[in-house]
Amino acid sequence: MARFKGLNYRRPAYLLILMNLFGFGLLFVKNSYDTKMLYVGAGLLGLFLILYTIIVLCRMGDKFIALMACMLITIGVLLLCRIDLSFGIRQIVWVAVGGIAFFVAYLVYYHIRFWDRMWMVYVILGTGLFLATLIFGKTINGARNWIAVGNVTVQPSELTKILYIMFLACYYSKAWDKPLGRITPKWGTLMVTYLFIGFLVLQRDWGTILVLFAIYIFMTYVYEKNYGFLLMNIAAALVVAFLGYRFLYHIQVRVSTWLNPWEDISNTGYQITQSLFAIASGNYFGRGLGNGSPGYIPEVHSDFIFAAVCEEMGVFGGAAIILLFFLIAYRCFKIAILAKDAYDKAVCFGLTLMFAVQTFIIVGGVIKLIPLTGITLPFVSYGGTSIVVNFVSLGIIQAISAKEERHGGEKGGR
Amino acid sequence: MTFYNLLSSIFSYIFTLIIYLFIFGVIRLIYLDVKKMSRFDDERVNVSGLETASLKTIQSRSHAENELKKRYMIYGQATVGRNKSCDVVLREKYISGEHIRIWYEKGEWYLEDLGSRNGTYINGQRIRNTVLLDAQDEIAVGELHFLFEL
Amino acid sequence: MADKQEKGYSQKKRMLHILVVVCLMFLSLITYLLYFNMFEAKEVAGNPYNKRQWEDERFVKRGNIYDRDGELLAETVVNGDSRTRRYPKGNLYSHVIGYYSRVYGKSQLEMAYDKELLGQGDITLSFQELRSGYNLNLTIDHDLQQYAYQQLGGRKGAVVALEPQTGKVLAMVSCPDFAPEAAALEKNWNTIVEREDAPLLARATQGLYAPGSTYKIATAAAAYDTGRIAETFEDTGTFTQGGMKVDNYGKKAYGEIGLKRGFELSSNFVFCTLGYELGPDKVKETAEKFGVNKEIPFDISVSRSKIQYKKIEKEDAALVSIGQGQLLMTPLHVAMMGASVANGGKMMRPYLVDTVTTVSGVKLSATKPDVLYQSMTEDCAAYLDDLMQGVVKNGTGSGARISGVTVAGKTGTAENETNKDHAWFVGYAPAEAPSIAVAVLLEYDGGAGGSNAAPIARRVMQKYLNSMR
Repeated sequence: MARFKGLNYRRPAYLLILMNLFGFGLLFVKNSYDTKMLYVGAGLLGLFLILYTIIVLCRMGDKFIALMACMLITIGVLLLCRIDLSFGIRQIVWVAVGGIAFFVAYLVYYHIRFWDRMWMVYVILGTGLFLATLIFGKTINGARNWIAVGNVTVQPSELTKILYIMFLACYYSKAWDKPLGRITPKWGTLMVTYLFIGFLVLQRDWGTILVLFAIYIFMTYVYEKNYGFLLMNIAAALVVAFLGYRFLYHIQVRVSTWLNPWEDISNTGYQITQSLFAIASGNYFGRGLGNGSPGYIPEVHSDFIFAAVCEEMGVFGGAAIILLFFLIAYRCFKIAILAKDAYDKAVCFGLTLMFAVQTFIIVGGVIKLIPLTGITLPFVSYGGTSIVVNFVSLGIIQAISAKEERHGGEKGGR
Repeated sequence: MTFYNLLSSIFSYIFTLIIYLFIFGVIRLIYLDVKKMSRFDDERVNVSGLETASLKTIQSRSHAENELKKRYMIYGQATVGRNKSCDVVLREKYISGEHIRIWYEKGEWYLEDLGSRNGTYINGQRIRNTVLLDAQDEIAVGELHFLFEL
Repeated sequence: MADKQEKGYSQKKRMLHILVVVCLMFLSLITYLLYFNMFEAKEVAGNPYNKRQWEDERFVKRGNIYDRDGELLAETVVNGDSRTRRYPKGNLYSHVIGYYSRVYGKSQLEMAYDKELLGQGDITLSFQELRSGYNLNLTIDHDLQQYAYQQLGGRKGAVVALEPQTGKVLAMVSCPDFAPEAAALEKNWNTIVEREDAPLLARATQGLYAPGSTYKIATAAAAYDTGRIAETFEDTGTFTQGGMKVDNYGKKAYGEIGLKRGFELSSNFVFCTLGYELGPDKVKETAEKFGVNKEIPFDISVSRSKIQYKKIEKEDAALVSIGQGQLLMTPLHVAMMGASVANGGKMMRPYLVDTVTTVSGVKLSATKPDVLYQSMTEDCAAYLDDLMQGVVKNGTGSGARISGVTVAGKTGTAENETNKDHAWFVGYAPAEAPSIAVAVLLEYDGGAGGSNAAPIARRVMQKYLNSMR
């Protein structure tokens, strides 16, 4: 009994390795024995092993979140390699960068203790990023939320999500309680929220708007004692949504294609119907990795990767991804609830919501449960900024979890 | 249908199996972890005012089958034994379902053998009735040795 | 301190609320995904815009379709990466074989036998570039089909010819039709869809019409069942009951008349009286014995013939007995009714695809004839045979007479929502050993079945009998 316990303990990790071996082995056969595929697989596996070993050996808090994130990355990279090997290779480079960012974020967050006093910094940085995007940004797929740095394009709005969460946490942890002039922190947060949302409207980045606003609403629900303020916010959001629907053609099109995408398959409904065709063709177990036709789906490597997963790995594969995200969210919730420090608690809670809401928005959009808004599926979609930012978020959560684990009995890390 | 198509179709089932085994494995680990945590949680409850003591594990010659904790906390009272219902669960050789009970009463700690098969020794002496415990008493159950600490 | 603790507690509780909300969000995703896959996926995947359906075609040369003598009816021409589905007989089979378009999907046999035509379901692995799908060999006699088409001469309607003993479809023509080749179809689609005479409607199988007096076959069978064949009726020319009036065709009064003569002259008085007296239950039961209100299993989809009453009254029963009222049938079904008399009361399951063969000629499957319903006893069939011979010999069906061959049949002139009646004829020949049963429908023809539909049936039967010699 005792002997097997050790083996059991690491079993999910073994399964992760097995998944990588089989997956890349299969793609190796598919790509007519192109050895590049094996290098890619070996590289990814190596990264996972290093990441996981360091987490376990250095007792960096929760061991499961990173493990599940690795599984999601595996599925994502397998799909990307299968769609286009060059995407897969670039994604692995980003995963490596993300891994480094993960440890950096972990160390920095763990050791610096004045995060809760810097709310002004977050607002200025966030606004600066938005302004930079507006001035230097370029438009890709209708959203002006990209900045080219050298030959790499980054998406600053991804980063502002973290800044926004850290900013919100300043207020909700009561670290920021002095009014600035005549503005109380409560109304200050509200103003900053709508300022950020306003910038995002200018960029037409509807997905991020939804994520930020959902985080704000959920945080308000948890931290505001009376419901009045919350209800006021929801009412305001409804009014804004209604006005947007009345006057913005973009939003009208999105809603009408959501209600009936079949009306105009070749034009406005093209994306969503192609996605639904892919999911419908996959059935329960999928057509098999490499057997499907993800090439028909527009934006398949980023926003629509879930449809490709459903086609090639089946509805069960898609449900597995949702389950993995749910488990990640659950673990993060647990860390947030157990966290002693109020600021850590709020940050962890915000980041958890970010993962959960983002997953819901894009998966729900791709399967036509809700209107489609373009946003990346964390860890699975291709995208440098997305991967790095998600790793940074994970690093912060990991740091909070490690604090809790190490100083659990004591009076908290700070 | 080419050879690759067939191979890939077969693998689609294998992948599904692996992913779900993985999820199952993670859930199981989380469950075990939470179970451990909830005991850990109890440690904090003690702020509530119950008298605490602890059993410190002494590394003895015997090889424990399962990993032992360094210290087992006792809040007010605890039963020790193999059964899951015990406050301190020791799944080891020579330990009965409910082996001993330790409790606090009017400023003193007491220990009682619950009719175990292999008996209980305090400071090397087998006990029959309820005994009074002192700090630093060595308690031996089965092949395990603990130090009673306040 | 106490206040702080209380607040902390409620905060934790609210965090758990959010956890529940997140849980529900993920649950709704999985539920919707499963729901979509269970109930909607099939339809969505079959949407013609789903390019995946055409992927198999890259590796497969879609199978050919032949008539019973090996005449080519449909083939695929491969030219590099392009595949063109050709129909050498033009419009003739547009309602049998259907069309095959990347824009509008597939219909009829192209749809029903898609898997076979693509050669799916075999597990042999192939490394070849192009594999051939399976061929279909139909029961259709191309010469007869062509001839029937000519006889219809562009009039709206349908001709269905069956082999009574087996249920093989020898010819099945629906008019108007359309050019089924994908290029032409895609070009003309809007015109075709908007045309008032509905060329896309396969009248033989999907058109529902009042069968008119051809349905008296079933009523006569019910009369035989209940032992009422010896009765005589006092035909006044108009059947009146409870405010309902039904005239004989041409408002003729035949006076004292027996069932046989009433059948030959197609007296509405006689059959309304019979139906009225048999009552709704018996009329409905008889109809169902002949397959009304039931699905007809066929290679392509067939509309269900039906009696559409919420509650059927005695007057309704009288109307149904002469093939009017809320009784609707497809031409194929009427042909099956005639064929069942020819086949001693056994209604055979109709079929179009005789065999499926590989490109090298190996037979993969062959359809076996199958009894669908025993719609009447053998004695009853013999009695009806006599009645139907009388119709042609000295009744309304004289237009179907062929010299030297005994023909049996029944005419029909069905009233409908317009003032132009449908003209019907159903019959078979030779009566002694029937080898073909034919149903002819002329939609909104305005004329009588005996004068307009019967000659078409006669010529089709004669053509077939000649070709057999």
